[in-house]
Amino acid sequence: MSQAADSSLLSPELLAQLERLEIVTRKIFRGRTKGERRSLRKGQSVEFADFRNYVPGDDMRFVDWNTYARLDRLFLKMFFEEEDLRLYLLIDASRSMDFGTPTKLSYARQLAAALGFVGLARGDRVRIETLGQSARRPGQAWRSRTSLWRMLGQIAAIEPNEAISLAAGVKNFVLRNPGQGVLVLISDLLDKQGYDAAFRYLLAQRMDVYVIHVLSPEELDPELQGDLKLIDCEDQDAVEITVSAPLLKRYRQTMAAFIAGAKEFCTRRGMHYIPTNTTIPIEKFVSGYLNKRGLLR
Amino acid sequence: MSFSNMLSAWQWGLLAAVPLGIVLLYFLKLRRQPLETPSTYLWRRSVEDMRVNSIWQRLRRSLLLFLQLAFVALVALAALRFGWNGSQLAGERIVLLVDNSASMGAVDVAPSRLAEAKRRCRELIDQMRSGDQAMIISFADAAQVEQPFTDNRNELRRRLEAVRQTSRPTSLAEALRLAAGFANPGVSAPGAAPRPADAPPAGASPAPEANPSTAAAPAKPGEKPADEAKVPSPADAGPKATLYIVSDGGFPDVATAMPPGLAPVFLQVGKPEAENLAIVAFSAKRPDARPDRLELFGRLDNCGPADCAAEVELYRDGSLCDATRVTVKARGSAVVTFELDDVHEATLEMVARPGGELAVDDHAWTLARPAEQTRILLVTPGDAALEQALASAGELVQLRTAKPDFLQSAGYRSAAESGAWNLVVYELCSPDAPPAANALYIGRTPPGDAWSLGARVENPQVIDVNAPHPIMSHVDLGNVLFASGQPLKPPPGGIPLIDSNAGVLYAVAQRDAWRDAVLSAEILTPAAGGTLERNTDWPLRLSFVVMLRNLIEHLGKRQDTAGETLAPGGVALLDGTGEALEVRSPGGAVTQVPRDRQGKFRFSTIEEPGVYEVLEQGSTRSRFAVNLFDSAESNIRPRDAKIRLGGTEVGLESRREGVRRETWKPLLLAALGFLLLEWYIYNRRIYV
Repeated sequence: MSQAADSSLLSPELLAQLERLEIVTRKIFRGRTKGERRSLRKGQSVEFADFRNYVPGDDMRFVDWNTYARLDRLFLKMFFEEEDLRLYLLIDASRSMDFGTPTKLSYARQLAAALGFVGLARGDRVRIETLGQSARRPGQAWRSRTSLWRMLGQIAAIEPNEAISLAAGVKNFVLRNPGQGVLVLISDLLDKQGYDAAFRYLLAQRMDVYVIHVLSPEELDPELQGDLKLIDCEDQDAVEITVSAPLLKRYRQTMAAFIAGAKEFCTRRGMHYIPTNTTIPIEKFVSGYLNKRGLLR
Repeated sequence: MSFSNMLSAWQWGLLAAVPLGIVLLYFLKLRRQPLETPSTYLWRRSVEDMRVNSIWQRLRRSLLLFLQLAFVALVALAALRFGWNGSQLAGERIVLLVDNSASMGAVDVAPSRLAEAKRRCRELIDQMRSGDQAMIISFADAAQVEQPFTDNRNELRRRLEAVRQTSRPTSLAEALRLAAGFANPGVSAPGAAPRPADAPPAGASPAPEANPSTAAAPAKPGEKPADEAKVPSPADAGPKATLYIVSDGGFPDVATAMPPGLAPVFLQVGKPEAENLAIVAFSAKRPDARPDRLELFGRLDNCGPADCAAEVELYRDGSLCDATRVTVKARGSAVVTFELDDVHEATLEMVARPGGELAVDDHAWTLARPAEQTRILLVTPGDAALEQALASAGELVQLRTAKPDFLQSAGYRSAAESGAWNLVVYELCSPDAPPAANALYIGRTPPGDAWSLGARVENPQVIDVNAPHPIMSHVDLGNVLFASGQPLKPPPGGIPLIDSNAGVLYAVAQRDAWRDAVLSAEILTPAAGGTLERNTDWPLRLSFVVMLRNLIEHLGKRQDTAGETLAPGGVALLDGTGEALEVRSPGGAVTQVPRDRQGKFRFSTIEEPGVYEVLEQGSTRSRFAVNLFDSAESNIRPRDAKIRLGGTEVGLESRREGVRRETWKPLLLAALGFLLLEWYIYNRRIYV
């Protein structure tokens, strides 16, 4: 993997822009190691949190001797603990993602690289996974900026050749990642079995879930003509259509209903739904849309 | 409705196989282009939504099939020659004679009779089938080809609208000759060359009257005519064209035979109850005793079915100067008179109000000119009675008497050529060349061979006098005797005035713009010894003086048109000294009139009634009045049912015949339209 290939995922301008951002979550999770995020636990940081009575066995180094001098009682100073955040970037690498100009998968790669960089920059634990990964082999977790190039290498190696349903892929992810954290699912959601089952797996996981729905303009507003035999690239299912104005109108209505359904499903269940399409520049999407929707700050 | 089979059984079988083939091909369906998509998930849901048991949706899917089947069905109907029995205009060639004479300006049919005639013609043009031809001829006193034969209906409608109303009288004969010439281009009149082409240009001279018997018969038995295609045989003597005469019928019957090849149909316009009060005469005259007084006479005709009371107003130079009320009986006439004093030169206009439904004859104009003496030259060897009788006219006559040898003088020749006299009387002498004036020859004939005298006859007895002629008005020759006389043979067109048992003794005939009167029975005859003897006692009778006064009145006037009344369509002969004159019409239009080949100024574009002004170098030289003054034209009551064209009576009904109306052309056109629509939809289905 060359550095030039990685620069196609993250341009220098985008990197400078991402430097100032951080992943936001409404939930405070317990981290495994120290990080840059305040934890529920009190620990050893420089930020004072509270006092408590001394009990035998406490570390004498945290006794506030000034208070003892005034009140003649022992109090222990407590400090905020800072832990790391687990950021999961789950990418749909099915064959349907290999469509559009640019392809939806390349858009998803760029998006994952950007979010991953933000996580690394803030000391979060970043894990890049795809739906097709086995339930027993969790992906490599990346932490600190030094892991950036290796993380980008992992992202660049993702190929659109996975033949697994959305629900099965999410189930595998949940099984191999039982912990808490922020999950960003990047997918086109075009699964004939629907997205409901997949989302329900995520709900049970108590994760802060962001669903980024990536579609191409060819899917949103197809410019087709004539008598066509549409072949599904994933299961080779064929649909014969005669393109007409009413059919196109009906397709657009179906697409709109599909998007609205996914949004409603997510909103009702405390998940974040962020639609996008590949014509929106990744810089604009990251700094504008994700910032506005609360994933980045 | 009926069908007419055009195809044989196997052809029908083949045609029936076409829709079956279309249906089969439709079910086999066209080869769809495969296209890989990310997912058929949403497409399948959309297609299923579209199939929600909607009949229209199903029909829409089969639209191309239906269009193709409709195309075949229309072709099959066209092959069946689907049609029905209808009626249509008879004849493949139609000649429309549109009357645009003065009477067609009547407004008894809104907006006018001419507009109604055009509407009827438009209906006929609309009924023309493809391939039919029609031509349009407008006629008043002369006919004009507005449009030669053509099948272009738009052009026919356009040219029909271009036909304009005129103020001219009506004559159908020339229009018939013109129509016959165009309808039978290969038929020629006796002695006339056949037309070289089927469609002569517009405005061509009318063709000579056709004579099928002469034209069809070979010159000799067994000898075929030079051009069989153009000479009709007796077998095709039927009508070649239908002649529609669209008129109010205000024209005299045509005496000549109806030209062959034309089937006339009379389409009448106008209402029988049309009312019109017309001024048909208006003139001014100065009494002999009072040259400064002007007596005006007008005659009004009422063609309506009821008595009509009208105000008749007299305008002098545009100012009302007199008026009277007159009642004109139904289908009768009335005379109105006015007297004006101290009138020397004026434009006088008479107006009848209300004038009825034809406006052009409600006004009449005449011009009052200063009293003018008639200049008379009497060349006689010495006839005191004749000189005295001419001099009795008093102030109206400026008489000069000369001997016959005066005719040889240069003074006479220059004066005679310049028109110095209004009337020249030659007694027992004749000039070398006729004068530029009216002339009376007594005992001699005018120079040239036009007139001739027979052998002298003793005691010719007067047996007839042309009393209606103005020269012989109130002349009674019952007690007049002639000792001798020579029978007179006037030139063609000459009018006998006195007829005797030996032949014509007195006649008058036209000579260019002048008239010559010849009295072959002398008043004085040369006798032995150079004396003159009396040959008749006529100078002793009152009738001699009356005849001379009539002669002065009739022939003694100047021969220009100023002061005279012309009819629309007439020709005015104008006086002028330069190379060109200008004529200003009542409407203000100025027309240049150059000198013609004979050195005369002829103004022939007289259309609207009124006073025309003749200008020379910007100043008024003379004026003349134009009036309709045509009782027949002013009688706007439409003619009774039929008109007679030669021996043919033409009724009012239009000729129609049963015909099968077929629709194969529109059906084929519709099939082509369906084919184009199907092709369009096939290629642009996204818009359906």
